[in-house]
Amino acid sequence: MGRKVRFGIVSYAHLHTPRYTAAVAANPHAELAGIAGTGLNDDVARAEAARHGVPYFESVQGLLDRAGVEAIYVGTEPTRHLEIVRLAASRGVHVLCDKPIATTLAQADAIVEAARRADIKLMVPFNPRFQLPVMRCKEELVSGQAGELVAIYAVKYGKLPTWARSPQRADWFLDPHQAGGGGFLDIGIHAVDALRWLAGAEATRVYAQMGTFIHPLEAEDLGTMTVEFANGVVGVLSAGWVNPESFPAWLDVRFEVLATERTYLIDSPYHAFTLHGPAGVESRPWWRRDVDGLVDEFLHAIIEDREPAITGEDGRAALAIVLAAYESARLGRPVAPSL
Amino acid sequence: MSDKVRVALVGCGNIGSGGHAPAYARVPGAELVVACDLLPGRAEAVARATGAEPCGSFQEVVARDDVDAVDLCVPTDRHAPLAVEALQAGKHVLCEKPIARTLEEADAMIAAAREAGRVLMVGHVRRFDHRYVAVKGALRAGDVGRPIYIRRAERQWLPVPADVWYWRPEAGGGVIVDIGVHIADMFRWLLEDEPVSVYAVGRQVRQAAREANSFDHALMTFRFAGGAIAVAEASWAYQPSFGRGLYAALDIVGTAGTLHDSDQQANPMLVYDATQGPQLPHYFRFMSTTEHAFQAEIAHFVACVRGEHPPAISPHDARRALEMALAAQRSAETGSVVPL
Repeated sequence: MGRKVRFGIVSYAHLHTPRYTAAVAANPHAELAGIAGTGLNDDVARAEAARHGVPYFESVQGLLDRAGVEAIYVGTEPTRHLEIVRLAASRGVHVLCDKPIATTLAQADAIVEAARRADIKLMVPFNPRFQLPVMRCKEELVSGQAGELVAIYAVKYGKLPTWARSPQRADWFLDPHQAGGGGFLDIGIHAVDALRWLAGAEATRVYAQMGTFIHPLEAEDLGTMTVEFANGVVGVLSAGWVNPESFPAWLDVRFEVLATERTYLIDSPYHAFTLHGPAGVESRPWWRRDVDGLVDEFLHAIIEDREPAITGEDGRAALAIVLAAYESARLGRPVAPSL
Repeated sequence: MSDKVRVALVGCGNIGSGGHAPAYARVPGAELVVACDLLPGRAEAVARATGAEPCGSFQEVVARDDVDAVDLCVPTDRHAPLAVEALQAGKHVLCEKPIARTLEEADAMIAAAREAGRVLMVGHVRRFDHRYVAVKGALRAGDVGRPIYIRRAERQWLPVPADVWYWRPEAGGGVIVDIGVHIADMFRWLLEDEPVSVYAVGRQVRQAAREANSFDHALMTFRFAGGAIAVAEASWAYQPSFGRGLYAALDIVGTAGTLHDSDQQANPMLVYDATQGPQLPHYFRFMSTTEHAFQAEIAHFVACVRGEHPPAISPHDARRALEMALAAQRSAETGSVVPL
């Protein structure tokens, strides 16, 4: 399998983009062919293009027309995903579309449909699927070694996105009209997908409580959700922007998985070392294998012409659960996600 | 009253013999004078270990002039009848949690204590556990700002068969009532606020739970009047080895910081031997508690009996914890949010 996929990067609006650019540039099955700006953080996009020695394009159209790319990563604000996926689909270009897939189910449906109709690969990168402890847990649930899955408690806490030590401006994350929600959506949706993946069934009932407790925001900074799946598995997720600046890592990620034969306590699935420096304690991951794994999976799906491990439909299902959680919090009662 | 508060331990089962009985020797103001149990041999075993006098009849215990107080470590549905009888006989009562099986029973106990002018204290032992006392102190000092979220997990393998009272809904209420009251009280204690609603999901995981038709795994979400969210996991469905090394986890998010405590941190040692994988050491019979907690609880009760102060955990607090747990039970049964 010597083939390389010519790959374009679209937009540095998302804080994840630099990591994906690096993963694409490092992957033996990819060739970074160009970077396009879409407005926000175009200065960063331009600098990254120069650093990687690839052409910079003022528009997605320019990248698609002139860079000869077979696939793109999309790191725009999620409200712009639909227009870009449609554009890519019209040229048969595969899309790795960062989360959330969209901010409404109507947009998500249109995105999934556009990809299916054009027969392009569409993948939404949810990190836990490529974190080793979570992968092992899933393997043992599938093989039956763990017995029957009963319940999962998940935590996904992060710091406020605007605290990121990055040249990228991230204010839009705090604006629910652009981001689709607040901290529960932004950081929780990874774990929502993980719950659904580990459960191996669709969500039937969601109950949630949300609050804007810590930061002066329009949207929630913390939410907690109880989700029941069709096979009886129950999950609880607490997620949001609650880590103080002093927290030794950006993220606090935990999965506690109870099955009838085994229990898994996963406390930070990132392999990290601890650094005590003049600025305090820091937990520094030594390799973000999850991002490399996601990019590698997407490339292999293209090369082998098969479904990626995480589909557009998966991205849509995770969004449906989060939106159901918002609705439940608003109504004060459990609701069924829109399947 | 003699110099010391003379106590009769009633119920020499698991908590009575392993938790309460050994603590009396370390409480200077107390003297364990009687150990009582209906089952032959159990009172005698505690009597041998403590120097108390064994007894097989509760009526004899409450009739004795040399008993100032009774310490009830009996099944939950026996709390009210025995507590009321003891209070009416003029005894002070320390009663294991939950206060009772029903709110009506709890009310009868509270009324009996008021009429008799005697102390009624429910043994919500978490309030006397130095770990949670320290957490409470940090919250009071404002070290994480205002607490807005608490997650508490208490989980183990309940090591008793299906016909034992813990499992039976009418006797112990299952895991939501038996463990739920611990968590509910901790939420109210730490948040210093009142809950307004609860939503709960329950599961019957083990054969024993299905046989008894009670829940052995439950996930509960309480909302408090001030807005705080409190999430509870109560479980008897973990693997047998789990509760031996790990039992509890406590996570608090505040407006200015977070606090995380779990038995993983309190257990900073792994032990290996020739045949087994890594094992966590087991320091005390009950992983949920420390030996100091029962001692502190009993010392507090003794000071209450001596009139030094009212119980730090009032009967109202204990009744409220039961009310929260029963509401969670109803939510788990109906699938609806239950207002409090």
